[in-house]
Amino acid sequence: MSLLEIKNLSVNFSILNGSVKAVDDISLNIGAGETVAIVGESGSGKSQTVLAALGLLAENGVASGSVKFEGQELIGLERKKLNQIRGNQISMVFQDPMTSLNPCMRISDQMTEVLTLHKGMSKSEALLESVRMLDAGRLPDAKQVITRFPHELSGGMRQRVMIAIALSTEPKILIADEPTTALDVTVQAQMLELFKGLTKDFGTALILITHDLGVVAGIADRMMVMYAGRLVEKGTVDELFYSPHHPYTFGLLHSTPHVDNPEMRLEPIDGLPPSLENLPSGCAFNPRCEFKLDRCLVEAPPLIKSANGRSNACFYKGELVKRRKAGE
Amino acid sequence: MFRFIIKRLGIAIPTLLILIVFSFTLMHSAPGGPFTSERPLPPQVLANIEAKYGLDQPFYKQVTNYIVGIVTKGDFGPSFKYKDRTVNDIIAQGFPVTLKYGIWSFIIAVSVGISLGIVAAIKHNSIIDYFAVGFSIGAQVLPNFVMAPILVIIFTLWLGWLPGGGWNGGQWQYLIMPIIALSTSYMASIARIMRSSMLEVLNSNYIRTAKAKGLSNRQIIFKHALKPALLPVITYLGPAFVGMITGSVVIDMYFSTGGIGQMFVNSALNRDYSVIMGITILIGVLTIAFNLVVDILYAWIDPKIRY
Amino acid sequence: MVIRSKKIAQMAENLAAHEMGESHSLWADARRRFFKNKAAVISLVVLTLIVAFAFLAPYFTKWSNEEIDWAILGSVAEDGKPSFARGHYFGADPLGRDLFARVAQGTQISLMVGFVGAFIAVIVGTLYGAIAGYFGGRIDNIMMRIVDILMSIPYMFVLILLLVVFGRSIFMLFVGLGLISWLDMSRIVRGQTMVLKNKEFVEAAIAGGSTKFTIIVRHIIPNLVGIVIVYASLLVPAMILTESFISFLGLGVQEPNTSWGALISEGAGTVLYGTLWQLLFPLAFFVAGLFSFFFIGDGLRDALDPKDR
Repeated sequence: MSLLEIKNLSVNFSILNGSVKAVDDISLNIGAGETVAIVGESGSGKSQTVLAALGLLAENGVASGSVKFEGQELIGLERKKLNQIRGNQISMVFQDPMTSLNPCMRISDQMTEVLTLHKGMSKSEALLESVRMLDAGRLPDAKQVITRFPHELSGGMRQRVMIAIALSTEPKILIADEPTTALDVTVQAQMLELFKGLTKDFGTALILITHDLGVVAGIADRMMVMYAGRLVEKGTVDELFYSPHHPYTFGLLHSTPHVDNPEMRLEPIDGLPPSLENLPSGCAFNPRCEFKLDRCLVEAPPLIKSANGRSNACFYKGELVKRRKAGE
Repeated sequence: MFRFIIKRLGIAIPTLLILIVFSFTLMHSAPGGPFTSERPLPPQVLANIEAKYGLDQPFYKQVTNYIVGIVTKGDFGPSFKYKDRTVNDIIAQGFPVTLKYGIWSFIIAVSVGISLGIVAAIKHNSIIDYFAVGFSIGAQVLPNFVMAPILVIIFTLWLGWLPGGGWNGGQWQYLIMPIIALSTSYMASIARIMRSSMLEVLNSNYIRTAKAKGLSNRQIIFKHALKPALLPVITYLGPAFVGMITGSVVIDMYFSTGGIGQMFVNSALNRDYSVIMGITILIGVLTIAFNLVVDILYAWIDPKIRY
Repeated sequence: MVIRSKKIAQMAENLAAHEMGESHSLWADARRRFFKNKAAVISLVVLTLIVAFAFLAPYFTKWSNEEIDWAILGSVAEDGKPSFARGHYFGADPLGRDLFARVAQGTQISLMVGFVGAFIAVIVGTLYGAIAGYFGGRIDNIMMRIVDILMSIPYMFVLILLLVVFGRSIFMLFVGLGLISWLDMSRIVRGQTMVLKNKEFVEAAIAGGSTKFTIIVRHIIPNLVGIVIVYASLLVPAMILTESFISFLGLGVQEPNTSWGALISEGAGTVLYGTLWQLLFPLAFFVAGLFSFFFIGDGLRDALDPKDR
């Protein structure tokens, strides 16, 4: 049995005139200790998927479908029981460490509260444990840092604090939503090392949400690619990187620089992701797709399973090769 | 902290001096002295009176004497109209009255306003939220001088429950209408500020973090959201305080409480300059002191402000 | 007022972030947005009716605002009730004067106080703020410190002091209101100017050799119009409120002139004799007038705020 099982999850937001579907029929499994990456551009629904799973959607959002943690259904679970799971069994690290810590509370209070709440520690035990976690997060001078307020720390330090808070309850799953996006490039690498090291040490499963394929390559076992709220392709990182089946995955890979192949031309995907309020008919990717068929304009391709646990939602079955534009 | 207070006082004291000198100059430049009346006094008598009040001395000396008197002895000088009473006597008589219902009004406006704002934000788009919004919009056009007569119509004229004015040693029946009239519009403003800032905080990233930690609603609101959401309300407390002090003049007049505001207006109508000045300076000191308290409170809640 | 200042500060931020577009389409767009706002449009209609009443009402009654109806003088509480037969549509005031004519007169004066007070604020506040913001440095520091000091003084008391010393007259009331009304305006304008002076078109004017005064008057001030209009539209009701407050105390507008505040004061004073109409008619105009101004101000702010465009 997998640790977390998301099945046919959809998220709808009611807006001024009607509603938009931010997540459309997503399914995902994650086993203990595994690292799964969810990849997509902003607005592709990757964050909303995990927020829905933890009951953290904005006021106007509604989730339908099923999210099971160790067999326990989370969607529609009463608040009290949900609170015993989130922050305890499943923790989350958010994108922007600048705004994700409470500006009016000391780091110590923000760290110890999860331990006193979920682990029943006393205030002083929790404080000791928090310092230990900060040390584990390789934050220099933890005893000093813990007495400060968030605005006195740098972005990297804050993100280390966020990670320390998330891991301090020894959760079974850690969800990291673009954990490195808001940080300096130099800090990003350190942070990824930290994730890799800590999840391994604690045996924690990691769901990593990112738009950066470079991050995925370094850390994830499996990945799933989302576009306009739908899952377009999933599989192991190795397979998807070496032979993508979906034109969008293919496009993403060609627009990402490779360290081992610096000569490669970068070819960005033309156009912009569609607005969720008026999606194109058929496959949502068709306006930007180089390989589109007539069928793609009228019919959305279903997600079809293939060998090795791979899935792909595309009608085009040919080989994906970059076509040179005329004149090049 | 100590340096912060000193720095604030460094601004407050010159402000106060400017206020004193300004009012004193204004008073001095009034066409016709304070003792000009319909029946002109004989020059000899006038000279005697002026000598008694020190008005024959050069202007700068009068100002310095006045300020020295206030600073060293807390003495605002004699009343110009009531021969045997000092300004201090008059203030000592009226101030406790205004203070009593003023403090109650302030406490009620702040506590009810904040609670209403919080509840409205938590129960966003519920009936109580609509009520809070409607109340805060409506109360904009219900300043104290509109509230007071409306309350009298309802509670005195129609229901006959409460006396239409007077003080009677500050018994509760005499307190209710002054307090409601004075506090309503500020209560509404505070509720409105609290509601919108609470909504903003509840939608913030760090509250999402708190939810993700598995904290209960109660912990989220009181431990995480309340402090940052209170900051805009605290900023508003200074202006609200000034507004309520000013409004107390209307309350004192309309309900004939015998408070300091009634004395102020009567002195204004009688041109009793020393009383007007004394009260103005007292209000100035109170305002400045209160603003200092607000600044300290703000700095205490917002860790970004270091002194 | 404070809440509104905060919203205006927000608008100023949005304006600063927004690049100046074509001014023609900007205004057309603002107008369209304003007329889509139901509360603002209704308020505009109500306000127009109030203004029309203030100036046309005297032609519809046989009573003037000063004439005493001797027939009812001794028995205003019974015979002074609103009545078409006697020609007192709103009833009579405690002195037997026609309230309909008095309310029209009071409306005129209250509106005048509101507009003149706001006008002074616009002129003084805009110039003061623009100069402080444009020159910056020491000048700015001193000028703004003065504003800080003036703002921390309980102005209502100083205003009353002023009225007592120099006599109670409409002129002194204007002077007093003018003295305090521009403070907030100058702060807002200063902030906006500091943003504007770093924009390209000002640099171009400097490079073109324009004098500082010309730059302020020709280039800075025209770009402040939006925020000044919005703030001024909220100052009008604020001025009316202040005037009403002072007149309620009997220290503002003096007989035979009157204003909303003075009429409410008169009506409030006689409430216990049961002559409710003396309070309710002026109060209705006061409430309707203030509401209209507030909603129009909000509508203008939403229309001119570039944020959700």
